[in-house]
Amino acid sequence: MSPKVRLRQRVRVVLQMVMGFVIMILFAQLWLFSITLDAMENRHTSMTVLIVALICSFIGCGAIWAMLRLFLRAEENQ
Amino acid sequence: MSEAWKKDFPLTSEEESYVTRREFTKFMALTSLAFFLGTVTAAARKLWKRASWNSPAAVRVTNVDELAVGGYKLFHYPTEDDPCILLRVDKDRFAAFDQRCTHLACPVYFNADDRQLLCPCHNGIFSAEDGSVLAGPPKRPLDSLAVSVSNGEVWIQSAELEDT
Repeated sequence: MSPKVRLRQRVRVVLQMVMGFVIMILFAQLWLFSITLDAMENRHTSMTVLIVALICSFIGCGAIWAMLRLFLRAEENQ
Repeated sequence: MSEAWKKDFPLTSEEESYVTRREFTKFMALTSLAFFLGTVTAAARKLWKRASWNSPAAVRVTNVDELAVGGYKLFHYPTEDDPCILLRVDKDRFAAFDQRCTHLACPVYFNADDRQLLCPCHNGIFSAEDGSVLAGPPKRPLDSLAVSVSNGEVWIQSAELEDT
């Protein structure tokens, strides 16, 4: 196996890991979105829940952008 | 002759539907951004509703004599878009709830025999005593309203926001 092929396989494995993380974060964001929608209708929902959901969703979004950016940059440098 | 068009249009369907890695990751990132913006929008609406919430004044719903034990009366409170139900649970006890089921907002109706509020859409059952969930898909109790009786009249007090 040539070094180039080996490198390509490694990149593929890393991509699969990144995609796994990204999909997990996307599901978490969907769940947070559903919590916020429920809070919108229910006036008794605590504001703390809403703020935590917002912050977590923001962190998730940032994490996805950072991971994908890092991966694509690393791939370009190869 | 028959193959000549392939030179003019050298694009295969596989190439056309091919999604590059970069495009796919871009799609993922944009989906994440859409979820975040959706969450921000829903939170902003909630905050706006909260900011514009003015504690409404108490309203008279009915006279005590007009409502028999086991009877109910529908009314709207605090706005015309908020259907509510007043129940006479006992001779001296009244209860009032938001009529919208906490599952999917179908109107609940009162079953005096079982002292329950029933949602016909998905068979949600609430207690007529305190609005708590007895059965069905709803996860939280009905929003209750404070009821008071004075001078033979039934009054609904303002609905309060509980959280901080």
